[in-house]
Amino acid sequence: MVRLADLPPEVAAGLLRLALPEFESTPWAPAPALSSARVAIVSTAGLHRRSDPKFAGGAGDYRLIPAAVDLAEIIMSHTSGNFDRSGFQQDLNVVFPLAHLQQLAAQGQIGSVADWHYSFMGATDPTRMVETGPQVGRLLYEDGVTAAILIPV
Amino acid sequence: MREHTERIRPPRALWVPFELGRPLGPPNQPEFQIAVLRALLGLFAREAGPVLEDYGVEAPASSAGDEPWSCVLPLPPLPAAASPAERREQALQAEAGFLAPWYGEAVQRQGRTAYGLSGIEAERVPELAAFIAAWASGESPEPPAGAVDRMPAALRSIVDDLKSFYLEAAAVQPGKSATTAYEMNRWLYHDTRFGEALYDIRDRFAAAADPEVRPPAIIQNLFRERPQRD
Repeated sequence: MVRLADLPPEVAAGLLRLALPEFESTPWAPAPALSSARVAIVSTAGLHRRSDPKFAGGAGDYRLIPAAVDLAEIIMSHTSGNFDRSGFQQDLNVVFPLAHLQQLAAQGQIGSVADWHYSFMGATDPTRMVETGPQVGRLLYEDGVTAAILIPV
Repeated sequence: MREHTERIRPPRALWVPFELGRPLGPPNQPEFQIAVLRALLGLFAREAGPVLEDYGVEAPASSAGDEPWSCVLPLPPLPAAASPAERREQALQAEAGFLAPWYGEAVQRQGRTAYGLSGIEAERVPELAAFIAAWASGESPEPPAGAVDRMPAALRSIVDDLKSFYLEAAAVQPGKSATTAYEMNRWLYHDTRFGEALYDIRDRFAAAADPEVRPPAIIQNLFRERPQRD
């Protein structure tokens, strides 16, 4: 999101210089029809419940967010200061649209909402998630998830 | 960044033109956000990839127009205290006191708050204001009792909580129009004494020039340039 052209040149240049992982191929799987899809959110906004430990800089771990969570319990401890928080402060759906997914499920536009959702903390070396990423993948599979949406921030 | 997505090549990706921190678009606009979510979910129907699609709808224009966004009422003026450090502390506490009822209103109206990283309850914001003022004035106090972090992490979590306090309070004031993330943060960093203190703290760490001490990330990159103030 955001156009580099909308950022100050030095900020845009810094973002373009970021080291990115290299992947030899892109995995592909056919998805079920949305009306039967079980959908989960995976966030990289550093979200968690108030009772959970905060994310540390460069952390590759994740937090669990149950679908039945009291949304007032969700806070953000992402360590980067370089994105706006005011949207999240006013409306959790800006970064974590669980309520919207639940509405779509109630309307029959998606099959169901997963019982569990997950948040990593962005601004992390991807090599630190080589174990935790597959862990979340396994958890999603066990939850019957057939469509996971990754929402960065 | 679209440029990053082009290189990483995930199976299905939707690029959106919104400000960083707002992937689903502006707050409190559920119809707009759900439209973005539907566009994202619609990518699952693609039969081959990788797919990188652009969401072609811009976020609604700020109803604030060209006017810089600001609080409804001006923040308290600088007090005539004995010393610069005292004046700074009183100014920050006066700002916090001015915003406190609006913060309470925001929490009640939203049913939630992003405040809560420092371990220090919002009723003690005046202590946090004094703590920030002291660091901005060159002192090095330990964080208030109850802080869950030690220094220097405590500085960051206290700053983050105060940012939530300020921005949530400012957003709920009557007559304020919806505005962009940029304008809200511009007000915080450029118009408040709290923002001024953040620059002072940042510059203090930078001046220390200790390569082992990384300056706390308390100022968003977009606002790294310190503004000229009256």
